[in-house]
Amino acid sequence: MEFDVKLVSALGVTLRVALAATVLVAPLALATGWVLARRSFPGKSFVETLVALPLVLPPTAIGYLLLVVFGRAGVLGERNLGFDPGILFTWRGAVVASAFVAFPLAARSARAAFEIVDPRLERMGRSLGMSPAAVFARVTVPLAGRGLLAALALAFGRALGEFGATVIVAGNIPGRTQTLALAIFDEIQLGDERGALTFVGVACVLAFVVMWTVERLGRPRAAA
Amino acid sequence: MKLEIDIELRQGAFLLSARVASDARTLGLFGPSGSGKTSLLEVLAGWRTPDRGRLAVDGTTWFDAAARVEVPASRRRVGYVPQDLLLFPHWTVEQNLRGGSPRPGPGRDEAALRRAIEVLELEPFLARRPRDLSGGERQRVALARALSSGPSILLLDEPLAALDMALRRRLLSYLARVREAFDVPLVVVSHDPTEILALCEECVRLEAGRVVEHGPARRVLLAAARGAGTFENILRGRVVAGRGTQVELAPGVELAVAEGGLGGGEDVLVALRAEDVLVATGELPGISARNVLAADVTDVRLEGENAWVEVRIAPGVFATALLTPAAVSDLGLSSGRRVRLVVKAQSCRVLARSTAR
Repeated sequence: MEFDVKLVSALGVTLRVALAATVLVAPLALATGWVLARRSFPGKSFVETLVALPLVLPPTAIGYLLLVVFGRAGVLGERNLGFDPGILFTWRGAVVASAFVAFPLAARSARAAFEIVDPRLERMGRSLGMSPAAVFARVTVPLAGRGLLAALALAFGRALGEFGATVIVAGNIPGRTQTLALAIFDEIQLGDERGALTFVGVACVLAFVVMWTVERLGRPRAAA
Repeated sequence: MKLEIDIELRQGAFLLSARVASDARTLGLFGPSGSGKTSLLEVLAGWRTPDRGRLAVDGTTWFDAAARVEVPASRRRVGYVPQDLLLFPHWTVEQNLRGGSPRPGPGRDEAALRRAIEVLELEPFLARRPRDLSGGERQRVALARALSSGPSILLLDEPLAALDMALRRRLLSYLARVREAFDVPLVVVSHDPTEILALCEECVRLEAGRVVEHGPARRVLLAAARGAGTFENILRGRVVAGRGTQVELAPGVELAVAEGGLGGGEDVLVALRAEDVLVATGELPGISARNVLAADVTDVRLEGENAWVEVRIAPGVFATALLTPAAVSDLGLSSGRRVRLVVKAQSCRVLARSTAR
């Protein structure tokens, strides 16, 4: 594959995987963040630890666990489901792997965003006759909005750079599952320093844009 | 309003144990900070769940621990104005009043909303956000929001505490106006006796989580008001047209006040300290005081150094004078005695006016 084509393809796969992973992770991360911010229940600290686990687990361990789950004989494998879920060694596998790794960052940031909203404002909404769903949609989410967007941007950013779990679940197939992170690894293996540097440069620009966005969103809006 | 409260609420080491039964349309909760006033208000609003007891409003049980009944806050139709107001910061004033929805939604009462906007003069502020309003304006928005949900009861927590004197005066007149314009029972929390005297018929005095006194506001607050720099007498009246310093308290009964610039027909609240009311039993030729009012003594209470003399100036117009026990005995004051009250115009403070300045 020509270098230019490889670069464009890796960039395309990376953005597509990161975006899909963010969409996949968003509802679950927001729901988890909200529950952790607003509810107390027995075993909450256990759940908190479980949510944070992918932050510190080696990504290769996560990749291996996904391989076991989605493998032919796995819980969500072909034998059990009766059809091939089409996860392993496809771009969808890269999405699932990235989503797993990005989940704790998004959930924890979403929790922080929800915690900033005064729960008494939500109670006031209820006293004024608004339904719980209306309070959530019209009061909680708009007031936590920037923090929630920052949480999703962070998930997107983390998914952009995912390597360890992805390489195990999705493999490193140029044009199909090869993301920027995998392509950099490829170039180093091939001994192509200029190529590796180019990919690293593109990855740096992407990472900078995402983190800049996260920082901007994370800052409280200036009082206008 | 028929209010039946018999609840216990534990918060850490603090225990609120309140028993109140009241038929008053306006009820004040008075006491020092930490006495449980706000907690009791939040129990009424459904924001706190008591540990035991029962709570009923107009015969409807809102909470009954034994019967496992708890009506959620959303179905109590309570207009609650907490001390920090809790306006929605991301909405304009109009959105705040409409619950964020452009159309009148469930629980919105369009007629009540229009009237609240009119009575509280909020039309010019509808497009603004809470952060662009002054303290008094925000207070009015919170009040209008509570009213526009068509509440069955209005709960106000220290409605004037965060405001300076000039704003207090203005807002008090808005509150008085709301009380007249909306037929809604009112529970007001305050640590200021004057506020409660101006707004409430009855008063519950709380101390360290317990009800220590409950009765007509004037009686409950007299002792508390003494020495607190507050006004025991709050008189309602209307400024006499063409004579801006005369306030009519009842047909044919006028009170001269020192404040100028009042407009004819304006409704005002006049505050007067009990110690500034002199009582005479004979003729008073040549006296500098602008007010000499005929009155009947209705009650005399002796409390140590203080003698509280309750008088009726006209039907529905009552006042209290603070004398010494010796003066009461020298004048032979007792219930039913006809007297004259002597009040300097300078002692009459206009507390609130109907026209916003």
